Amino acid sequence: MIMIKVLTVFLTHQAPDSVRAMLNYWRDLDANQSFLIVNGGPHDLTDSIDCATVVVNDPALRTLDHGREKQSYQGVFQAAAPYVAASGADFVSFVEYDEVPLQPDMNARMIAAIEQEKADVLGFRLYRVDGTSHHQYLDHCRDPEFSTYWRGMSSREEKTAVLSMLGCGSFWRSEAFLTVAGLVSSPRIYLEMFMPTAAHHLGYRVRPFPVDQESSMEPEVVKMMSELQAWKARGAWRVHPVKEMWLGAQTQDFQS
Amino acid sequence: MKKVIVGVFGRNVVDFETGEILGRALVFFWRGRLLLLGYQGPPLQVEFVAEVPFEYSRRVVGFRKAIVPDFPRTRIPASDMPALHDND
Repeated sequence: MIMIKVLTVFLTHQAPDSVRAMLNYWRDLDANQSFLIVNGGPHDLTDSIDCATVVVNDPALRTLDHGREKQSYQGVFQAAAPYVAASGADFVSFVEYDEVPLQPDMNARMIAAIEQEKADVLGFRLYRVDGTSHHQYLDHCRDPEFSTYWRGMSSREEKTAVLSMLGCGSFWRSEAFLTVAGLVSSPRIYLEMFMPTAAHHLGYRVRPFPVDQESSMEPEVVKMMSELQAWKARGAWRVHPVKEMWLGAQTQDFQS
Repeated sequence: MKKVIVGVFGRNVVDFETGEILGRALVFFWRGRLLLLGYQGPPLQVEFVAEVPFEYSRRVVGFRKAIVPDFPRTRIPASDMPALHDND
């Protein structure tokens, strides 16, 4: 039996051709990887890609105004959980389709970072947001169920802490991923707060990625394929978001 | 368009402890409240700042960048838990 160290869980809604291009790119960069596709879109990927796939039909995932509608990845985590558990992987790399890896040893770098931090979860743009101007936190404060939920499930002495991190690019010890996925009766909480706050109150240690990796993941700055080499030269492990990446044959041009 | 307006007419929001520029915003006082419009930076904590020299007539409200959490792990990993034996 092959021991899987890192299972990369992709969340995508794209068509089969784009998903194939994405997988080929990741495999070309590092052949020694294991993947799970979580299909949250309208396309049937069952027989069109050579990778394990699970389907998510969760209205909480398919939001338009993600913040106001409190988009949730709980359905995604719960769909992936049985495969993660069966894989025996030590770590889960949770990736959105528009992330592009640049370094062949990215998994090794993330393992080194999580071990150095003695953490269970690594995320980008990680802050403690209770008592701050964080817009989604302030919106959730109007809902009494929000604080009641954390007080009820928290194993921490301080039960009011609320964390936030980007939804993309998080890195988990599998146990933490599975425990968070097991929270089935949570109220609707925006995913960027739910994931790190749930892990924190379950007793896991949540820490940021190295600070020099933040700028390449900023969601407000859409990156172009023509910029990838420059990002790589600056030491970025990956970039996000690159919306055009898997939409055509241009992918081949970058690799060659 | 909003970015341009904030860029031209806004003011820097500065962390009062570190001096780091956190972003730009249009700042107004409206109906007894302080409004920050167009701010895009990291989450802000707001507090009154102790100033030297002491003055009776002045209060300063400062901004500080939200902290990065550094809580310890409190959960025992499943792999470290003692095994349960049915016959014990």
